[in-house]
Amino acid sequence: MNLYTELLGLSPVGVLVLAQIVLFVQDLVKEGKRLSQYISAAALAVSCLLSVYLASSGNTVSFANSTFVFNSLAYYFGVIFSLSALLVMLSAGSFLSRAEYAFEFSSLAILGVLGSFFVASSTNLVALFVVFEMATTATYGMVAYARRSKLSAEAAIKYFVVGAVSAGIIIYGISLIYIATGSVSISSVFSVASQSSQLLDVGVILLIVGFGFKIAAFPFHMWLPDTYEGAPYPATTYLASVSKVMGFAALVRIFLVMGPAIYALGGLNWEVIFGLLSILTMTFGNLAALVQTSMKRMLAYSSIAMSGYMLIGLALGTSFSYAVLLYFMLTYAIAKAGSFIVAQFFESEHNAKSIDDYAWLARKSPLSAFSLTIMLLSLAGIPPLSVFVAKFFIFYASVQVGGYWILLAIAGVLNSALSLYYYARVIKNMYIGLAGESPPPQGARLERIGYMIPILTCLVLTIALGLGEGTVIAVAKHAVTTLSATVF
Amino acid sequence: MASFAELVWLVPIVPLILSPFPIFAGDKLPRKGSFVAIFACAVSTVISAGVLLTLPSHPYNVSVQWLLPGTATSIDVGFYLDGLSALMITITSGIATLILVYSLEYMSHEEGLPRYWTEMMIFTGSMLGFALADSVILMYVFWELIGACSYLLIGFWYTKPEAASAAKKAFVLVRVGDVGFLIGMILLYTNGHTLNLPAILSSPATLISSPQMRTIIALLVFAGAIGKSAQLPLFPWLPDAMEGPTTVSALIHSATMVAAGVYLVARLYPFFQVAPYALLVVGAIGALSAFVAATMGLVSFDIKRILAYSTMSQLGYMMVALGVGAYGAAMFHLMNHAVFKAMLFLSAGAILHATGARDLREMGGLLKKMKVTGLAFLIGGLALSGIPPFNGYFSKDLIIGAAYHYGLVTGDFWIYLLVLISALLTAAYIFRAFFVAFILPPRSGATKEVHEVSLTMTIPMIILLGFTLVTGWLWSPLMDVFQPFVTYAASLGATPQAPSYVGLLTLAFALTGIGLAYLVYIRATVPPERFSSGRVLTKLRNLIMRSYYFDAAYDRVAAGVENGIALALDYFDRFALDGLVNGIGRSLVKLGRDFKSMETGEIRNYVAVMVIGAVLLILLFEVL
Repeated sequence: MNLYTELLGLSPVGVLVLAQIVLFVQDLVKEGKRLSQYISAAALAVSCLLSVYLASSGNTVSFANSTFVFNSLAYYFGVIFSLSALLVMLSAGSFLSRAEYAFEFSSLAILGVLGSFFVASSTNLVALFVVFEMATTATYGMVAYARRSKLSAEAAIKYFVVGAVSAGIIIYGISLIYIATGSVSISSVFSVASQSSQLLDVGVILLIVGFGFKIAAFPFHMWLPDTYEGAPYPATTYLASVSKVMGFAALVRIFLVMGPAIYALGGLNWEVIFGLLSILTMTFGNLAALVQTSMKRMLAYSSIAMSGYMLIGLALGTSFSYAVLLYFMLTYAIAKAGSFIVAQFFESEHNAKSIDDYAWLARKSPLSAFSLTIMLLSLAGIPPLSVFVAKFFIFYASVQVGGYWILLAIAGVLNSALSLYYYARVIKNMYIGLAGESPPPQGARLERIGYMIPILTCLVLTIALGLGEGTVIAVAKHAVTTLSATVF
Repeated sequence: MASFAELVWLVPIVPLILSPFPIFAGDKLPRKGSFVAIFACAVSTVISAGVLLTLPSHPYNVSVQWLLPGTATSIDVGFYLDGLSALMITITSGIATLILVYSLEYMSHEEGLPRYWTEMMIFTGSMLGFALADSVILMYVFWELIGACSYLLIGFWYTKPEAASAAKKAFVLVRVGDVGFLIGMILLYTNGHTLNLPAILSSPATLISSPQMRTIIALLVFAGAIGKSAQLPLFPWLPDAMEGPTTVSALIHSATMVAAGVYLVARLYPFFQVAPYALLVVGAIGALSAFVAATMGLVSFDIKRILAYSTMSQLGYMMVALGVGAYGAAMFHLMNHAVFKAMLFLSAGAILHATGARDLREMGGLLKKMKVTGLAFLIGGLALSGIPPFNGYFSKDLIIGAAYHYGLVTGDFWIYLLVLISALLTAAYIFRAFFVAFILPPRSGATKEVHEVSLTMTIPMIILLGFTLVTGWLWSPLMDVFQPFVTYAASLGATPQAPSYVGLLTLAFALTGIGLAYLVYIRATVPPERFSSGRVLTKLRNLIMRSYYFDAAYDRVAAGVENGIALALDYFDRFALDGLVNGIGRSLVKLGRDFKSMETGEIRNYVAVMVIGAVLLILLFEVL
């Protein structure tokens, strides 16, 4: 491997490290809230484009004695991480201009992406845990960023305590696996000491529980609504996109490689666990979202429900279902981040917090209301929008596998129908107001460009990814096969 | 040298391909894109005429495999050109072109003209495609397109409630027949394993061996023809369809929609011939329709409705011809009728354009003011009544003669009697309209200055007038080029001829009809009011004026069915579905609340739930 390909392969991470250094230097030299935002956004954009290129070109680069291997899968996740973080940074302008310290937020956001990037590329459970915690720690800081706000502090504390507990559970799980197999590497070939297959199974279950915290699978989700609601909007967007996808990245990384061996050696039917969690999570998320009055909280519960759909991809465990899961995460992250950004804009512009406050907003801010409509419809699963395509393929995958797995598709379809209710309520309020209320007199206001850039990016991607799903799924399939074919 | 036959695929394609132009770019084109429409139809006409004149002696068939390629039961689509289809496309495209030219002036003040041109183009193109289709399924596709376009065109003034409901009525009633056609087609395919015309026409009896099945299929297909050709009992849409623009009526009634039904039977005639009783049904329905429609034409006051009933009546004649084995005469009458009926409608349109009146009672003395229009109406009326030397005479004479011959052979004269009496009624109603509108002085003093319409409108009428004088001679005592031309299969047979006194009797009946109209309206020997007095006459008149209560019956049935379904649905909706949905909804919301109340906000509960979850998972998957 020559130096050039190695440098190119590490460049998405390298750009971020460089940006981190530049940010610190810039803060020392001249404090500028705008400048740090621009630097981080530019670095994330470059990193995203490099990842897109590398994910499709199929480079593989090892790093640190093969503890981290950057391959198509890692780059694919890298695209999601850096793109979502870019959206967060683009939309964070007005939040940062009011914050006391601006540059740390940018720095934390990049740190989180860096950690997530490494999670997606680690080949060792302990290394994975370390970088996972690195990314998580960055998000603790972001949640607590509005530290004078009681809500933000409470959100951060809850998030931190539950996060710490699950970190403990993960490390316990890893240690049990180590005892059982004598190895911590993520490998498709390993052996189990005699009489200790149960140890392996318990270890794996603990891993599922620990990472289940991050992806907010029922019943490990309880921190999520409080934290999402209390955290400042950019942090919430970050949690819902970067942080959640990182949890899935860890699970995909582990189960795509180790899954078959775990079943063969330990006899643990981990696919059934994911299936069970999937149905519980989507049903719970949707039911709870149904009765919410606050927009932010409704979006929080809907993101729990989305985790449920995505868990189907893990539960099926076929290479097609993994590929669809990858596509799903991309579409989900964009639609969800977009919805949160519009919600943030509406809160700052129209002081709209509850769903009832959204009445007639389409008249005041038509473009962002339209974007929110498209993204909510996408989340609800309306063709031809991107999340619909993802849902369709994931349900199709479960039908393809057949047997009891079809139940997952049935549950998913029923839940999607249910979810349309609460998404449609928001859309209805925006366009035709509340029953018995006349429309407001004032016309449309010019929508703020700082918000419109990320919102329109999400809008375009939500539509374009739905129409051009073929290319993305092809790349995702390629990423999945490279990883499952590689023996570490 | 490329012959015209190889270009025949252009005939339906040109209007269809160009049809989007007016509606999408009409506002930027001169005269709302009318020239695109006229150009397209004119191109079709030229090619059709060329094809007609240079027709190869063998049927020309081009097709591509469409569905189930590579299997024994593949479905091919393509064009099938023989004398019959060549004739049909020439009539359709020629008359459509004339009507479109006429529309230039007639429709010039309407809103939504681009829409009009586009719909007319699709309508004409569909009819041309229908005529040329080489498989039943392609015929069905165009058949439905014709139906859809007729809906759009009849409802052109969709803001008028009458027009909207007339369009709906036309669509729904025709659909009833279409369902029959569809089922018939499916049965044909499942039993015969092909839908290709050449295969069906060459050996229909071996294709489907069971005669009962052949009859069932033929009758189902005929149901489609009943709907499109407005025969009993699916006719009430036709008079209502007069709510559309007169040009649309002219096109529907001469060469497109209603002719499609007759053409369908004619196209599949060899199949009908081997289906026992099927042709008897065709003839019987035709005779009854001819008679019933003629009586209704006699009592109507709306000039367009009179023409509509006359269309139904004349289509009945064509069905009779098909039923009694006079296939050639049916096609001959189709052509002649298309010419003179288009002319009559254009003439009625000119009256409407000049006076704004459709009701006979508001007209009068128009002949002096509108000479060309009046002449066109008179010649059309004479042709319709079957007076020589106009084209209607030749074909009608053949049909009635064949019906007489049929009576001689089978001993059943009632079909003959019905069409003979209808001939008298036909002459009477059309001349009643002519005398009242053109000869008699207006009832109320003429309040409006009436002028002859412009050249754009009279020229198409004059051209049609010329054809009315010409086309009849194609099959006359002088020469017979028509019948051999359309006879595309040996089994079709020659039209049976009747002795000459039958023809004289027919002529006498027609003249009697004109004479009666003259006596009642011009000489007023028996004033028309007499017919609406007296118990029996009043009742009879009411019966006829209410379209023999077909409309009322349909309304009742529709209302009953609708109410019944609505009631059942309402019940289902209110008690079963609403209850279920509300119940589910309520319990889901309640469940959601319960879940919500799990969110205590207490962090120790969160951690506890999490740990319990982990323990449960371990218990579930490891211990149990």
